[in-house]
Amino acid sequence: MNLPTTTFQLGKYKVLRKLGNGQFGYVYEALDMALAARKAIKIIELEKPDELLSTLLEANILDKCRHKNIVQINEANVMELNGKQVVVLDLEYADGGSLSSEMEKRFLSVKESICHISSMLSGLEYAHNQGFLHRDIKPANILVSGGVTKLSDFGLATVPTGKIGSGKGYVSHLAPETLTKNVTTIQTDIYASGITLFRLVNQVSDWHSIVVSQKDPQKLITNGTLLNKIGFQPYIPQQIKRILSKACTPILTKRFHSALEMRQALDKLRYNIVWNKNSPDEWSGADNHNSYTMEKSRSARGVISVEFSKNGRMQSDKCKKNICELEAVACMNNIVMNTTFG
Amino acid sequence: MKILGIALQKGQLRYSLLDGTKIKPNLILKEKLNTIALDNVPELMDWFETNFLDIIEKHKPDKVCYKITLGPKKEQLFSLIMPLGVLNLICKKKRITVVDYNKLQFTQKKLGLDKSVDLYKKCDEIFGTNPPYWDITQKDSIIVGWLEL
Repeated sequence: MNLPTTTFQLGKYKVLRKLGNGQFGYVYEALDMALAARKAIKIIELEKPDELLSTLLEANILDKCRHKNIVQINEANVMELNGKQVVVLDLEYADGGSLSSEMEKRFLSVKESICHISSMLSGLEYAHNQGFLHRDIKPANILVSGGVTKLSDFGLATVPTGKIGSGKGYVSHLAPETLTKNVTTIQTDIYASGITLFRLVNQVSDWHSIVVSQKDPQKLITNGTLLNKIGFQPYIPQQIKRILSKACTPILTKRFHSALEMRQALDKLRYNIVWNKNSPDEWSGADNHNSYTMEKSRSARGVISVEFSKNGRMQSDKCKKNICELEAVACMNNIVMNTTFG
Repeated sequence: MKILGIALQKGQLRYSLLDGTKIKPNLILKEKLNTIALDNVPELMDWFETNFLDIIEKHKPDKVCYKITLGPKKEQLFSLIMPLGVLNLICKKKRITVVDYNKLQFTQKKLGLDKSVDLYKKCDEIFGTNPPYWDITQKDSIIVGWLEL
């Protein structure tokens, strides 16, 4: 469907800009002129009149999945655009955008990443309890609205019908059993949640490039060894690696059995210092009462050191001097890894 | 009538679902949830709101009962008392009756039992032992529900 690239009018909506491609449609930011409210609208072209019911399935599912961690549907309408019939889903506008775009803009701390995934899992659990699988969990489908994390794009959500994955290069979020046995279950949604968490904590915004740069990525995905092959950032704590390995194991009996079980594993984590990477050479952190900074510096004579400060005061026991570049980076990574959790 | 019994302890939300009668109570299920850390009170209350809502949506109880701790310490206010305000509000919005009990109200008489009966041992006798986490807090969540049957 050729939609205008500039602002256009569609019924009561003034369509402002394209937000992205959802499953089987385009998502736009729009102004609902009747309510003077900002909305996200998804426009789905209706090829044949008999496809109306199947096109409205996403709307039906969203209506049955009203949860604070699932993007809300306001209404669904059949409208005419450029002489063609389209289905328009009127959705909650997420002012914070998607985690995918957020990751491109800034560093997401381990705590932030886990909080987002924990909230998303709460919405996912609700959808599962209503009898629906999402089947397309990825950072681009997790939105933030008014500071609340929301699972969005239920375009693939339904009971399995053979349509798998997004077909947009995110086959790598599919569980091994989906590729080998063509099945989608609660546990395949959990697998995709694990991959999503992996991407967030490792700051992988360009996932597709990393996957295709691997030797024989299809085999790695099918074997369930993709994450091990890509590897973790050196500052990722063991606790997260354990949770990710349980979420993304190809052995179904060892994988989390429900979204609640995975969420509980994340909620149980107790944070110590929340670290943010300001640049490759500088970290800043905070706990409830203190602030921390950690910096790699090079003196005029070329001596490399790591300086660790707590509330602006140098902590000599954690500082290192006269070390090489690699040692300095390893030192900072180890401190982050060992102090993220209590 | 399906009753949801709730008891909190630091870092944990315990709940039980019961039906039957006071004389013949039936434990449908019991569950333990780990809460997020106490280091951010608004986030913790948000966690409780989400989870209370999820539990109520999932099990659709006719009535909700909870155990309230008397004379809490400051830290316990955040983990044991304030979440119960959230629970009360949710129940009001969902039009579900909500009833509170403190430990002094755990009397044998209300359950038609002899004064000498130890209620916690009676739980084992009636409901069997249900490990894991079959402890006093879990049984508190059962007793508050049982009292309302």
